Amino acid sequence: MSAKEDKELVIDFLNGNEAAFNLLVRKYQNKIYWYARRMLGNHSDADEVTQEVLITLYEKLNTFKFESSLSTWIYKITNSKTLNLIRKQKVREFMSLDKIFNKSASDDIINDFENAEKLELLEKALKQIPPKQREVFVLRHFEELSYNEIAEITGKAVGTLKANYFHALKKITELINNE
Amino acid sequence: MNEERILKYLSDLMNEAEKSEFERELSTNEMLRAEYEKIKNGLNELKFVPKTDETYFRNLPVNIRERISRKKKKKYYRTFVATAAFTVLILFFILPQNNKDNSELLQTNFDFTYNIDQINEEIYSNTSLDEIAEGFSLDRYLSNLSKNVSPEEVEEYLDEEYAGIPADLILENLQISDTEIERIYNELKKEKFL
Repeated sequence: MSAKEDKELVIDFLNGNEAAFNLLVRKYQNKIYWYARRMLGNHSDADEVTQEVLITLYEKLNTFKFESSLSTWIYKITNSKTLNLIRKQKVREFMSLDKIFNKSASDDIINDFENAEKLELLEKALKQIPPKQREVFVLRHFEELSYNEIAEITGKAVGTLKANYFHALKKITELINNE
Repeated sequence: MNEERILKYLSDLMNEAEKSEFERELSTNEMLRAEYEKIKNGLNELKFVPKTDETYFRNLPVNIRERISRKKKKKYYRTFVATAAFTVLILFFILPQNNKDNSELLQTNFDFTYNIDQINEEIYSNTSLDEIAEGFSLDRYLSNLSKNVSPEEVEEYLDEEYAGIPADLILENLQISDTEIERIYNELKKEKFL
């Protein structure tokens, strides 16, 4: 779907057509979920972020000025909510005096066993990368965005992103080789 | 050595001369090519998307609508309570000046207070720990941290303040702004707690 269609959907929604919002949700929900999931490593947190992003979208679409693509704007919101949740969890872990929260896999939405196992390994590996490296790795490797797009989303310089991506690749490669 | 160069190439960290040299070598050096393919394939294998329970994504728009409507309702209640409280206050100051009968004034106040209590009850039953968490003082918490208090003391402070409500539950329901989360996170990092 082109950017023009995004614009049309946003305008329709702002003119009171609620169905246009549902179309936007349908279009972006998977992207939001999988970005959050790879960043956070479990369904329950990814679900929380996905819902929050979509609510923010509903409430703030009237402030979107089309200065960037809608997709970039949505990634920006998702990235910021994801990083905030990671920070919040670190603070919470500290406040709970080192109690570690293991999210239950019972409410997961993955229903093919082979890939569930692979995903678990991947999530474990991603968790070993610092969030700053993880964000650029996920955005470039999985979402296939350019450094310029990632710079727009994260607000970081392209040079910094390249260095972070290099370190992330190094660690991931190491982890793959050790598997 | 080769791995470092391959990863630099994949990260686009090479300058034009290094890049051309690497690409030239890649077409002539079989060992380098094999290593490059191995790394690239390993990374590409991570790009799978598992099959998911379709009902989750199908129900997502409905869940979002429900949350938005709950949020709107809560906001409406809050505004209503604030308006009612403000009206009581205004009546309290204005009515005596208009020489209203005192008993009438008391009755008006009673009615408003009664309604506010009713609404408050409804808010609490709808919002669980939200309101409690709003009273959480970040500054006091942070000032405790900078005094190098022990984890036991932090726990004691939280117990005193929140009568045994687990700290993580408070934080979960805490409406902290993004800037505040960043501030706490940086503060904890600075103090080497994280």
